[in-house]
Amino acid sequence: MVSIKKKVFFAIIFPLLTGVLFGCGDAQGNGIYQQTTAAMDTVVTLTLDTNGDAALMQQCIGTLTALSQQLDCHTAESTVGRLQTEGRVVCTEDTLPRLIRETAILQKRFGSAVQLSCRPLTALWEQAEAASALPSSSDILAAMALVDDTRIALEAERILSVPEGFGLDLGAVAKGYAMDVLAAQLRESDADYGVISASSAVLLYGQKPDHQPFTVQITDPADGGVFGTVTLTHGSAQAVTMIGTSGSYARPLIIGEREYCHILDLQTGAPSQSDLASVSVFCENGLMADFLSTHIYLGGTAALSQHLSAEDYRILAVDTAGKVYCSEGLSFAPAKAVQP
Amino acid sequence: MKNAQKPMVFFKGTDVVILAILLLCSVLAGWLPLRSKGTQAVIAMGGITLAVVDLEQEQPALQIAGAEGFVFCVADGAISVTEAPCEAKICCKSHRIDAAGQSIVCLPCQLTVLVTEAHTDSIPLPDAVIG
Repeated sequence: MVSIKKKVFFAIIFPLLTGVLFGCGDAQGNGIYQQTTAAMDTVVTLTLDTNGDAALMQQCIGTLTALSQQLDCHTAESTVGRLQTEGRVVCTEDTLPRLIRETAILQKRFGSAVQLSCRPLTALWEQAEAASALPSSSDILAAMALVDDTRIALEAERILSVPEGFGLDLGAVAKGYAMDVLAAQLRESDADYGVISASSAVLLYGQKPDHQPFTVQITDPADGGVFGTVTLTHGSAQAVTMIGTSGSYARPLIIGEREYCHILDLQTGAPSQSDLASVSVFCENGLMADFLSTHIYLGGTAALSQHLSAEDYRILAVDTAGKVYCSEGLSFAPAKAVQP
Repeated sequence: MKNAQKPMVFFKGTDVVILAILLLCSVLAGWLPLRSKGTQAVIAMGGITLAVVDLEQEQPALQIAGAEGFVFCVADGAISVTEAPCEAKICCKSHRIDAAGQSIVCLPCQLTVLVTEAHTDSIPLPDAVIG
């Protein structure tokens, strides 16, 4: 009981305290507020021109906190955690059912390289990392047999169930989905401008006060430095750009002396050996950007051409040899000489 | 008597320290500009600064008094943690950092490494950094 009380206390007090520290601060002048919080398994920085709506910043942070609590597969009390242990949950909100429905639409269009039901496999590799020993082939096959999003059942819009042993890991989509929820919140507010950055997912909203283009630095997959800068211009007040990035360089699995990619290839059940080092996707939908960045990364250079010519999203990809692949119309300036 | 009741302790000392570290990271991250190239790293333990390291000075196996068990690598203007005394060693898995505002945190040992730099107006800051 003490630990639950503690968790509740920390969940409430941490956002509140950070809110007290920054919610009243004018970090950048001209009514633009900046606040940093821990959510979605990362550090999230929010920069908002709230246009006098003093509560907006805290509302956005409250949204992130609530989403973290619902979607975290590592927490037994979350909706996703309860689904894994109980096999069936009644969702009080449409958050998780909507995420599952929208992901299914993306899978129908692009394929099932990314699956939400990959938790048995991710858990197996997490255990392998903890034990510093590679999982056996039979364990991998057993876990792969439990990965199948078509077995996630949704009844009456809010009742979710999965077969025994199944579980969800939303790592490939949760941050992007959170950005969609935040974008809707900004649209309903009087905010003129916002940048919300959660490491591998970024939301650019509205127009900057000086009407200059947005600039987004892309992390160099080779050394973690600056690879280059993408410049984006918004033509209207409520325009949105969502960016999702996946890469082999982030959060490696370390088993024994060797580093493995944290992105698992569901075809092999093993860490991906993609010949891409980094993929960034730019579009108007956060879930799509997040989903596609992982999907395209897994597909490697062989499947890039169809994505480079897509009409409703743009990509910037770097392969393991440092060669850059950039959609037409995306303004990218490399920080140093790169292979075109 | 399987579950003998222990006195209810809402807060332990370590909880307060962890909360303080989280708040410190928030404060520092909120004060700093989004990310410009950093020139120094502030290494702190339990919120107390142990050292300010010049990132321009190469130090492949730097050890700091007060942070026993930790080994830092300063190379090419970036810093990383290469050895840590805790079991998880999550900080050793973190990528090396070189931009102002980036940090490496070891919660079990209450260690923070924060890259800082005074921003110069001649270098425009990006609106966001992704990756």
